Amino acid sequence: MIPMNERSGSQKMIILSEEQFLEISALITSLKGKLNSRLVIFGDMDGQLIAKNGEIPGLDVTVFTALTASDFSATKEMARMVGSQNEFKLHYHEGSHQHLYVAAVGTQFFLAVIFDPSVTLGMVRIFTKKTLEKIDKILETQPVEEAQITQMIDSEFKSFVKDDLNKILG
Amino acid sequence: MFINWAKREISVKIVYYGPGLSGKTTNLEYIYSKIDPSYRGEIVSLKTKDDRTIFFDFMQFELGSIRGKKPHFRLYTVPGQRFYASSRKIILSGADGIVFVADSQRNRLRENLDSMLDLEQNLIAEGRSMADLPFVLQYNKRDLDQILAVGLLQKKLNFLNAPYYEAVANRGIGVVETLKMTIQLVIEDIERKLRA
Repeated sequence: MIPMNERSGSQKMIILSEEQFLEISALITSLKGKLNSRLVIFGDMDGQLIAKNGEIPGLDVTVFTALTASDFSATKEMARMVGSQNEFKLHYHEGSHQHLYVAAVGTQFFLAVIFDPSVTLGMVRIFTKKTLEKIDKILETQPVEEAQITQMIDSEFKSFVKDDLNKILG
Repeated sequence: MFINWAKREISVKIVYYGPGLSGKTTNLEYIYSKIDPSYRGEIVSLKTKDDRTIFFDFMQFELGSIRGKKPHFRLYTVPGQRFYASSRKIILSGADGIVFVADSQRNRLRENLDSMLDLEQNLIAEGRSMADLPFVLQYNKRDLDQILAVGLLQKKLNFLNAPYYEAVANRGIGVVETLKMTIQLVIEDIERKLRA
């Protein structure tokens, strides 16, 4: 399975279409509602936040996504080092007030759910699994039109980036 | 690189590589201090108790909307110490551009070379190579006494003829220039790949 639109050989270039983003966002919203969770995050294993629903005061979701992705990759490496043939597919961290459940979506993405102890882990597992399966299907389809992709960067964009960098970095 | 077409967001990952204590974290901390908080998130540093990077440092910043398109830049450092090889491999995965922060001190040449070799080996393991990636060299610590001449560092380290900058990262000298050049190379590289 090639999730989303992957290009350029060994360098990862992932392009999420408008339809994919909207459908995944709707699934995340629905999952958050079903589990009454505080925050649901969909990110990629390189630490990129793709979609989220909910918030926790004081939590920088971008940083949280980078940490979660690295945690997942580190555990995968640990598994490899101890000779495990199967990659770990999920993580569960139990806190006193909040629990964190993280599950892999294929090899490239993950879904993280932060929920409180009133929700059982079994519920989280069942609803998350269903959501993962649906996301997996969405990622298999709907590539972005080639013409649209090339519009993303043009000479005007490059010149604006240069100007903006000068503005914010001096 | 990641494009979210619905939000017109383009997000790139830049990794600061180099030997231990060469100034990678200092580069990130300076960039963080320069950017207005409305354009950046938090900086996170996973450090040991004696202040050495154990896993990575991370920060993200974004530019304003450019005709509806929003560029985001995620900056990472790797831990330089030799025994954190696995961490470096993890952080390097998916990098769109690399800044190599070399320590200019005479007695650190070996460590610079080892780190460069380690970088190339990790890239090869991913099916990539330094030659295929936007790559910028920074010769840091130019204010110290026992340093090698830039010409010699160029000969020993810059075999790809990459853009390079002299820096004193703890005073911010050369830090912004290095980042700007890296971003410029990354954007040109992405444009080339999108059109390929």
